[in-house]
Amino acid sequence: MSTVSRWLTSITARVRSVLHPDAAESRMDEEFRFHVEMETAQRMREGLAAEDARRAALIAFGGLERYKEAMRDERGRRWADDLWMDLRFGIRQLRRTPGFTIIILTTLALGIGATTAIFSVANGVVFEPLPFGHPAELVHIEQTDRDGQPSAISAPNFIDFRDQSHSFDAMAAVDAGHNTSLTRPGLPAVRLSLARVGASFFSLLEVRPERGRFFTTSDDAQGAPDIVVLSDATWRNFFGADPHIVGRVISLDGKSYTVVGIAAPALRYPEKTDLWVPAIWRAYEIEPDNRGYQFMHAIARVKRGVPIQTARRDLQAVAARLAWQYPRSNTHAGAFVQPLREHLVGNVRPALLAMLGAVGFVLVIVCANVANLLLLRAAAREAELAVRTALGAGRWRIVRQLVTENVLLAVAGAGLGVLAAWWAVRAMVAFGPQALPRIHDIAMDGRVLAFAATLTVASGLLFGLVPALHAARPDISRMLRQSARGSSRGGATATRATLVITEMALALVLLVGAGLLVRSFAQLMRVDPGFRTEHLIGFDASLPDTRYKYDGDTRAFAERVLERLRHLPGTERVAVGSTRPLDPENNFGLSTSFTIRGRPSVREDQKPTTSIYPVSPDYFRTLGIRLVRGRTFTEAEDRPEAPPVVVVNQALAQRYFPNEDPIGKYITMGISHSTGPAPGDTLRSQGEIVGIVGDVKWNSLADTAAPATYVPYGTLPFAFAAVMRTTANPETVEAAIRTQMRQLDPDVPVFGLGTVASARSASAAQPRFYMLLLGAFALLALVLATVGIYGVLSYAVSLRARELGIRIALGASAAQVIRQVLRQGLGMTIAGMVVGLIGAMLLTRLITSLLFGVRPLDPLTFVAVCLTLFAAAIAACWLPARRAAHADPLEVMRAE
Amino acid sequence: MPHAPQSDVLRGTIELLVLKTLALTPMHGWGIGQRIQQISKGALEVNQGSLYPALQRLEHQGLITSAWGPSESNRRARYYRLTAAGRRALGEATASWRRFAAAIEVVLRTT
Repeated sequence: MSTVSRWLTSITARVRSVLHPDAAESRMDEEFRFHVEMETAQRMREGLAAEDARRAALIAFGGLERYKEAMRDERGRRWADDLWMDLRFGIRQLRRTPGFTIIILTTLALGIGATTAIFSVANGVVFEPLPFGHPAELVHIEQTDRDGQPSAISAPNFIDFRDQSHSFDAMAAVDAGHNTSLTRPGLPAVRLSLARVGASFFSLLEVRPERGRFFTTSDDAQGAPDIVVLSDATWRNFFGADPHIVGRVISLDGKSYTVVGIAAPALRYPEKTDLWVPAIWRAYEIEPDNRGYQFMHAIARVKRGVPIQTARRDLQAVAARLAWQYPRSNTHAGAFVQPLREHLVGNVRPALLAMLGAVGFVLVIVCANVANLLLLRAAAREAELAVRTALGAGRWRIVRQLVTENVLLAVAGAGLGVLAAWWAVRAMVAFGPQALPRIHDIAMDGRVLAFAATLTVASGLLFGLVPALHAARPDISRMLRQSARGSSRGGATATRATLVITEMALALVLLVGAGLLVRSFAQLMRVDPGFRTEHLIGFDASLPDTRYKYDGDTRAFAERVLERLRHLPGTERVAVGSTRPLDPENNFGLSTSFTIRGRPSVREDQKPTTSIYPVSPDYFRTLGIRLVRGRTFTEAEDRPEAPPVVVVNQALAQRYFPNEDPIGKYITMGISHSTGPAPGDTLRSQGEIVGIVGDVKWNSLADTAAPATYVPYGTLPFAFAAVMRTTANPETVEAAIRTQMRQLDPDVPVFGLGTVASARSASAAQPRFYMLLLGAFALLALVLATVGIYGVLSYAVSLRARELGIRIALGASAAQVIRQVLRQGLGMTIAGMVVGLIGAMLLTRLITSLLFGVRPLDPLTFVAVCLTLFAAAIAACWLPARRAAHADPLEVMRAE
Repeated sequence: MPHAPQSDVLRGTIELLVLKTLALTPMHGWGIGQRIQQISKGALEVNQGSLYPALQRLEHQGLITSAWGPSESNRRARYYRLTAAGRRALGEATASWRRFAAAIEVVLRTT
């Protein structure tokens, strides 16, 4: 037999005996029985009686169990037995101290759970690759304005950017966010988000169509047929995933488009886009003197190997040339180039990084706490370990026992943690703000689980090994002598104090962060939106261009709506306008420069600017917008024939009429529009200022007041929205509005119907989400840090029981003892708080962009947080201190 | 574990004796003990407590194999037989034992 096959036999024999211990045992039993029988027979042949012969045989054989044990050892089953024994012993140990076990398991579960959940969100939003080929080469391009801020590009500038630069493989125009209404025979109209994109858009992103084709070079040429690509969601939701959709004609805003392709499910770029059509330039967009008409942005793929800085300099050189060539429009226009990923997730990055930082802090606190608890436990078990060592347990045997226990804890904690994470991810997706990019892509995936698993193993080893090694070299004689009351070892106590100080410091930083967000949120909620949100219902509707072509059509529609809604039960007031405040899907934005009659004329780019809000006369009173001075519109002024009037807000009055009364001044806007079919049917918006109203938060509560001008809706009936104040139940009213609108014109889809109060709270959803998340972390940190200081102090008190007992016996009062213990605990607390305060002062500026109405060094927050943490620490120290003060000195001495 | 460990000398010796016994014919545990006693004319008493662990050890080392078979009295018994490796090991162990015994002899004869 060769050496190899001998090894094989040997290994098989061993493996068999380990895998089938019962078979090995029964073979052993039978063999021994046979032996004893043979021996008995032998003795009987020698003349003994059967009974005596058997007894003699057994005696000669010796202790049966002893041999079995020796053979078990030989079989190498010992390690498996030991492991099983360690496990059972570990579980018994953990069950004997349920408080300790529960605290550690909860700590681990919360730590790992929260970490995994946040990592999942961060993973989904920040780290998840974009659904494009080679995403690192993609950039987002805009112009910059006078202040160097990115702003939209005009078509002629885009064409020059594309044709005169050298650093890009391709560049495509993107004109996104158009609402369009899709009408299908026999079905209610639906509103979809449409993007006009250059023909190279899809090929540049390196994406493939799910069905059909994407655009080709000729698709955005003048006169090309109207074609459309549908998103996967649109295809499924509104066309029942019709397999023959490609080639069919659909109707968008009353115009026919041929479907040429379906995009993959992941593709929603630029912004929750439902439909893509080729950007065929309209005549006015590319008029040479319309370089100032900025309405789009661009994306491009940088040539391989060209750094983004080079590409940026390339475009800036083009922009500089254009500025020199077209001073009137381009003097201040630069080029803005940003990696596409950064553009897509840029504005949520600070929040996510803050959350990741919070996660890191909580993890460190979790680790410190668990390490601390295990150190305390190892210390409390010194005596037990010393006895076991004295009885002959080897060092590695003890280390293995402790490591088994800790890995058991870590695995159980991680299991609970993964469960907690799974639940938390679902909760966050369900309750998180819809505005968070790609929130629906978030799920616990393999990498996240791997992250959790790594954490588990790392924590198991870390927490297990340190106390284990520590405990494996106990000074036996000293510890036996001191019988479990080991005097505190200097090093270990310092370690524990450091851990507690770290926990306190980190908890303070988190509490300050959370406190600042809470304060911000409170400020945000206290913001006066400029109107009364109670009992207010709003909606908007999109009027198909084909049937509502001219001002008169829209005006007539608006009047019919007002008439019908006014007669609904409960209606107090109703008004129409181009938009309504705090509309989350608000797409209406009209802003322009204007001139003030009687002032010297200035260059185009130095003219004052304002947003324009067309509103019906009752709009102000319906919303409850405050009239500061003057008056609002009359019904008579709500038509184009009437002498033109406007109302401005306080921000405009203060900015452009700082030292004079704007009422009576005449302003002329930079916009005009055609009101009818004849060439002369145009109307320039202008008018005498008749009133000043308070500022309104149009888009979000965090808006800063910007100049706004209100014009009568009848003179500028752009878009359509209605608001109404009602005493009736909102749900009844909403149903009634739907019915009325359907009766009025079934081709006009109604959107966003709901109370303005809910829109208001939705507008605060994102800050609330961040506040709740960071608040939860801070609370977790506070609890963990409190538990940490409690644990350490309790242990310290139990170590000093003898000393304190003597003091009490010698006449120290309870108050003195309590003071002494408190001093020790609060010393650590204060040290931690000082470190934490320094950290907080350095770190809070990183979340400035998340704050509203609060400075990063808000003294109120800092003081409140310090008091909270201090109070929690006193509570945590009080219990052990009291226990020490009320200890019976006799009892303590006897226990020695 | 409460049992007293066997000394290496004894261990080595019993293994050699087992291998030698099995070199003659396959045999069950009790028979091996008896055979050693017979051959040594009662000089060597085999302790069961070392015999069975030794058998198991040799089996794990691949020097012997075992199988169930009928005994002289027609009972089921575990029979051990030498493998090729066992035969080689017996040769080496015998040579090494002879060298050892000779060395001891030399030492004892001196003085």
